[in-house]
Amino acid sequence: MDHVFRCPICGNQDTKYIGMRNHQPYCRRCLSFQGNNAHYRQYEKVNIKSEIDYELTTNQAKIAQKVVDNFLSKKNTLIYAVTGAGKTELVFSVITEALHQGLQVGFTIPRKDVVIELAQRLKSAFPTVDMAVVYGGHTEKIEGQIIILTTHQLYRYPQYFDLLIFDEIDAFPYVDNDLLITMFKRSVRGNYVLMSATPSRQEINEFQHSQTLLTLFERFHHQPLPVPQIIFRLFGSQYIYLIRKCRAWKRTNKPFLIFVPTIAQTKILFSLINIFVKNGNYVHSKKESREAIIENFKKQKLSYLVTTSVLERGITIANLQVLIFDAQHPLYTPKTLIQISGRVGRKLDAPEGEVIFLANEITHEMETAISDIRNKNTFL
Amino acid sequence: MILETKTPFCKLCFKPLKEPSFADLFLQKPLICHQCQKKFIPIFHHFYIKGIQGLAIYRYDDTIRQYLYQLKAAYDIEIAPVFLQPYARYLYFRYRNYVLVPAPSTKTSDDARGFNQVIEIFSELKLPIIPVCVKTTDIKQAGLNYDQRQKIIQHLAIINPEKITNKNILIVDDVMTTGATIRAMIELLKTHNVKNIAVLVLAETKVSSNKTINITD
Repeated sequence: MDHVFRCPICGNQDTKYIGMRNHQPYCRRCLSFQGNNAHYRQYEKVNIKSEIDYELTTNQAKIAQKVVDNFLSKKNTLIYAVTGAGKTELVFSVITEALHQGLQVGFTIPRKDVVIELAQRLKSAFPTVDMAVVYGGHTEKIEGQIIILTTHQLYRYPQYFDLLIFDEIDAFPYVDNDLLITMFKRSVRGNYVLMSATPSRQEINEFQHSQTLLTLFERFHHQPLPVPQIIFRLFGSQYIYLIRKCRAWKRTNKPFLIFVPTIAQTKILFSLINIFVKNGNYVHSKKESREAIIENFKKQKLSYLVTTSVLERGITIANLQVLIFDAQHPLYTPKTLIQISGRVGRKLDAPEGEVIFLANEITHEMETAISDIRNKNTFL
Repeated sequence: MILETKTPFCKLCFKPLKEPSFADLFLQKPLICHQCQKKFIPIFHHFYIKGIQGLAIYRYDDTIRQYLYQLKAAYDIEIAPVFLQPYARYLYFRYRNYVLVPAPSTKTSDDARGFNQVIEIFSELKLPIIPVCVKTTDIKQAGLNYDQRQKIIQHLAIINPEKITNKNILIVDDVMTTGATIRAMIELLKTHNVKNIAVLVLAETKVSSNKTINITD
């Protein structure tokens, strides 16, 4: 029997990914995942406290304590919490615990924008800790006691993290990507904590079985999740509705996001809205200077953005309103719709807001998303 | 070692290739799928450089840059035939009386790679390749400006000139930026007893496409 080549990096054995170079087999699947690897370091035990400027609610504190207990008894955890429940704050106590023991902490998210935002939050919470932020195009410093990184950068850390926190486990591009899943499993040395607002049935079952599934179905301000509203319009009249709505939001000085399904539509729709409502911009994953535009929007210098699903998660803006244009598009799965609706009402001083599904067809996905949100609200 | 797969796969996106059509009986077996092939836009730009006719097949756009990077920096030798495969037969007939002389690359990077990317790309033409032109020093042109690039001739040399005597020479290169290397090679080759010289480059940058017509001596 012939010896079968197995990639030492990603464990691939499928012959379609294997090429021959100078009579030596090499793996083509993980070509973009080869680079500088980080070296594992032992850190000194430090006694610090996380500096968050508000108190956790009783339910949050209970779950945060359970996460710490699970970590101490060397168990992996899945936190299933609604959007805006304060998932990030839940894990601050387990990070503090790991830092006390001088362990290596990692925090990974599939999306680059979310990594940037999260890095600022963690820096203000742990100002004295050596921190590294690693994402595509920002890889000068790859070692630190807390490493915040995209899932694409996990290849640099084989058998590295004593505690790895993974937020938004169901986000593109991680979901259904075998290579990234392998990379994630490879980089964990100790235990991991998964977090999501929309985990898959399989993940829920898996963690329910080992009794490490933690659920939190209320937002930290105890207000119900905003329930989306379906607006049914035909024959181009959705444009009229869209512009009237935009003008109304602009008049009341509310920042708003318009979600469109494709990259091409962002520019077209923006040039239409811009005629009637000034001071906006559009973003998509291919757009340069996207970070600066989003930053301006957060500082309220821009009053609205037309965007693809690149902003569907991890972003928190006060008093935000959301409109999903062409919500009947097959790209909008229930998960995506729930995540987008979860952008609204995340702040204590503005717990309400409008979510509008503007569509020319009412799809099963839209109804599933709405009934799921209503269902979560009954737990209040 | 078994490396044969039952169904053919696209070399770039790894999706299975579709069932062969009737036309494929007369064409070569495709290496990449139709979607990936659409990204490669040929321009077939004819230009003159030092009075010698040259042909550039692609513009140095994002697609070419990405895959050349994959070939040169990630050492992915499997994608080398992808660039020229659709035009290999045409180019073979066009240059059937020629021998290929690849533009030199630095020895250190060739050793690190284990192959020369220019030879790998143009070996798809099935024409004899004679690497007679070499770099005497390890100089890299990336990052140099126009004037600095024109001095490249000081770092080039021809070894074993008897191999190319009385032959038609086709100078091949992967990327032509200002044409400095090509011009230096033409000057060097003209001093030896060669019949005819032509130039074939895989991709040219946008700057050179305007300039090379002007710099025809």
